[in-house]
Amino acid sequence: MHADDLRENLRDFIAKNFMYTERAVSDDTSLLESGLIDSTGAMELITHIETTLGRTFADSDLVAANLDSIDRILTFVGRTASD
Amino acid sequence: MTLDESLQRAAQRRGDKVAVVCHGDSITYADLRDHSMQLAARLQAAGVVTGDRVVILLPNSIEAVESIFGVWLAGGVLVFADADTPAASLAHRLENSGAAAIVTTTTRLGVATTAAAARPTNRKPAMVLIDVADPTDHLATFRPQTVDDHAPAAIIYTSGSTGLPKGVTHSHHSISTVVRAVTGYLEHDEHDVVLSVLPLAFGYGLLQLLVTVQCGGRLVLRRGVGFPFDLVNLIDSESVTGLAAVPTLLVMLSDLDTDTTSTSSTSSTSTLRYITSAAAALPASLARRVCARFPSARLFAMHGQTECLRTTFMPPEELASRPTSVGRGIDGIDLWLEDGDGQRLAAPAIGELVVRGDNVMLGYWNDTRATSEVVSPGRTPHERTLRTGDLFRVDADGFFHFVSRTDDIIKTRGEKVAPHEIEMHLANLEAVAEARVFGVPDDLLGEAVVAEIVLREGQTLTQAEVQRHLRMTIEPVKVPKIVQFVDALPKSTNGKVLRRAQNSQPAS
Repeated sequence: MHADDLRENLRDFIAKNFMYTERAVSDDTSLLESGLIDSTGAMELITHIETTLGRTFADSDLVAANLDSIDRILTFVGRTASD
Repeated sequence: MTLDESLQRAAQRRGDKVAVVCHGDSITYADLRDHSMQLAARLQAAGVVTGDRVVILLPNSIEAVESIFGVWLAGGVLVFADADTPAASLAHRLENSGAAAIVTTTTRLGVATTAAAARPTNRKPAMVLIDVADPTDHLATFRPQTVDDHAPAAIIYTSGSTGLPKGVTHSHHSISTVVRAVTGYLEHDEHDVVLSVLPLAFGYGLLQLLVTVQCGGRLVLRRGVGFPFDLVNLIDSESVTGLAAVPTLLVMLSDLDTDTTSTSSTSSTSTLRYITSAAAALPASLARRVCARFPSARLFAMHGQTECLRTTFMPPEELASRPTSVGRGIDGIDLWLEDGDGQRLAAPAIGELVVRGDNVMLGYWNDTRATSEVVSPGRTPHERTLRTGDLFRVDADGFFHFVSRTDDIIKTRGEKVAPHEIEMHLANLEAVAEARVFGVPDDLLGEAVVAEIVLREGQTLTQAEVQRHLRMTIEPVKVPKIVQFVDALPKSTNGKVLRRAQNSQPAS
C-alpha cells in the first residue's frame, strides 16, 4: 500500500473507531496522550495495521515510539518494509 | 497514624531517593513532601479546612501523587475522579461528596466548571490548577492539622447494583490496615520498584503508591497500559521488582514474545520478583502462561473490593495445586461464607463472602441506607462486618474460590460496571424504545459489555452512534463494546426485562 493511501486509511480508521467528540487530530497527535486510544484501542490499532498491510510485526516493535501517531506509524512501516 | 505520616518519615530517612517515576518525570521523597505541603497550604488558602472533601481530577502523574498527600496534609478527605471522568459523572461526585475544592489541570477546567455549575447546592468548589504556578507562597501560612486515624481519608466511587455510583469511604486506619498486610505478604522493602498502570483513583492503584511510600521504595507510574511492549522495556530500564496487574493486562503481556527479529533490543524482565493479580478472576491457563513468560516472578492471585480493599491472597507456591483459588484471608481479618438467610456455613460450602476486620470501609458517603444494607458493626469499635455480594466456594482446607457475583454487576478490565446505569443512559436516546445490558465472557476483558437495543418504530441508530453518545456521559470502561439491535427483549411473566437470559430475537 502506498504511504499516502495508508495515511488516509489510518485517519479514517481512527476517526471511525476512536473519535467520540469533535476535535481535530493531526498526524503527529499522540494517540495515547490525547486519550484517543487506551490499551485495548492500541491492540485494535495494531490488528488493523497488520490486516491492512498483510504483514505481522515483531512484538518488541509494537511500542509507542513506532505507533503512537499517524506519522510514527508511517515512518515505522516505511522503515521495516525494506528489512 | 494518618497516611501522610509515611511520606514525612520516608522524606526524613531517604530524602534524596527518587520516590516516583512517571513518563519521564521523577521526584525525590524530599521534593514530594515539599510539593505536597505547598499544595496543602494552597488548599488551605482556598478555604479548605479539616474534614473538607477535595476532588482530584487528574491522570496518573507526579502532580496526582502530590495532590493525594497534599489533601491529607491539609486535613482533607480525598475524592478521586479519573482524568477521563465526564462532566455528568463528576457532577454526581461533587454533589454527593459536597466537595470544597477540585484539584485539576487547565485542560480539564472546562469539565470541572461544567460539573460544578450542575450542582443544585450553593457552595461552589474552589478550583486549584496544579499546572499553573501560584505566585503567592502560602507555605508561611500553612497550618499542620491533627486528624484522627479513624476519620475519613478517601472516598472512592464504585458502581452498585442499584442507583448512581456510591462513595466508598475509608479511614486512614482502614487503609493503613491493608497497606501493612500487603507489605507483609509481598515481603516489600525499600529496594522494591513497583510498576503500576492502574489509576490512582482505583483502590488497587492507590495501594501501590501507599505500600511503596510506606516502605520507602520507588513507584513507576504509567497512564494506562498503552502499547504493551513498552511495559516490558520499562521493567528492564527501571529494574522493576513488582508488577501490579489485572488479568486483562496479564493476557496482553503473556502473549508477547521476545523474539530476536525485532529492530529494538530484546528484554529479559529478570528483575521482576512478583506479579500481583486482582480485580477479576485469574483463569488457571492464564496463570500458567504468566509464570512461563516471567519465570523470575512469583504470581500472587488476590481478591478484594473497593469496600474492604483486600480480602485474600494466594501464596504463590500453592497456586499450582489449587489453580482456581484466591487463597485465604489477609492478616488480621476474618472471612466466612453465609447462605441466603445469613447463616454462617461450615467449609466446604458455597455462599456469599462476609468480611470482618479493620479493613472494612466506614460506609458509603452520605448514604446510610445503602451502608446499612452491607455494613454492620464488628466486635471492636474500629472493626466492621461487610457483605461483599461475591459468591465464593470454600474448600475443606479453608481456601476460597470465586464463583460469581450475587447481583448482575459486570466485571470488565477489572472494573465494576452496573448494567442499570448504562440502560438508564441508553433510555435517554430518543430512538431507543428499550434496552438491556449484560456481560459476555471475553478472553481479554474478562467480560465484555453488551447492549441490546429495541428501536422505536421508524428510527435508526448505529453501534458507533450509541457508543459516541455514551462516551459523553459515562466513563469509557462502561461503554458497551458490542451494540446489537433486536426486535424484542426476553422478559419475565410480569414484564420485567431479564438481563441473564441470553436469547433475544435478532432484528429482522
